[in-house]
Amino acid sequence: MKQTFTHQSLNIEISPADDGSALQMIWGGKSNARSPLQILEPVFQEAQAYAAEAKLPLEMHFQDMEHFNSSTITALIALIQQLRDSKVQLRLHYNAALKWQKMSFDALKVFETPDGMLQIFGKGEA
Amino acid sequence: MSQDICFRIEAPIAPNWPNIELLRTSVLNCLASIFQDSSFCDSVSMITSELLENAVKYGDWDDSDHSFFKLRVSGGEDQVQVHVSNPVDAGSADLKSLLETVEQIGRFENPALAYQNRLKEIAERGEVGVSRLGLPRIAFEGNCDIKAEVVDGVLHIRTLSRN
Repeated sequence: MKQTFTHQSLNIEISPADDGSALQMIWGGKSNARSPLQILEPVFQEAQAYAAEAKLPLEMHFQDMEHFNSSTITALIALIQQLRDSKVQLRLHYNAALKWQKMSFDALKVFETPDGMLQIFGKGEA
Repeated sequence: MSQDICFRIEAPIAPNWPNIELLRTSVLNCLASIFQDSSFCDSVSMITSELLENAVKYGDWDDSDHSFFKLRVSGGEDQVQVHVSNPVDAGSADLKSLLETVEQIGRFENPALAYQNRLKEIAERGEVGVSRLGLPRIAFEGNCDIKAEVVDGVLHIRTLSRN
């Protein structure tokens, strides 16, 4: 699986990691659609199906994101729930040097559970 | 407020979704020319866009004077106020919910708890189609006070962020 999803100023590169250890989704630009879930759900579903079939974790990288609205956070919560139900591990990576990313993703740690189905990593903290 | 720096941005807005991003980046760029702290600029521009999103989503755009839709960003080196005003239907469920959300945020010990509570509600109730996360996010990430009032059919929401 290797594809690029683009919607307005949002782009997501989807491909297996070089070492084959995960399916990666590299987010870039801005996610500020009125209903992000409607736009992202087909992308999420395809990635989820591929990861489940290949028995790979899904790894999302947000470090290059400029901005996302709160409705995008809601869409991510929906994804977290769906992946948990389908037993696909989700790893979220953010840029901890950006305060807005650190606050947004640290807050999502409320959904981390001891089984490690959701892991959130901040990199580059000063 | 400092007397050394004093600014005011005021714009009447058409209630179209693409205008939100145009104004967010305008505010971001304007503040970046004033403040050294890019995190503070990010925060105020996020507040601006979340308030404008609420206005476009929940304002009364059918039977109202659109000239009441305005954004004002003003302040000095210590603090910035974002004020969005838009026409509303005084009897709408959306307005009731919005005002309740502002009140609810104030009842929590701190904005982080209000935000976490809303995240959990969205997950537990499966409320993925209805976000209602913007105001808790503003209070938490923007670390600011939120005040809301309706005057003569116009909703005024004001936030105050300290640099």
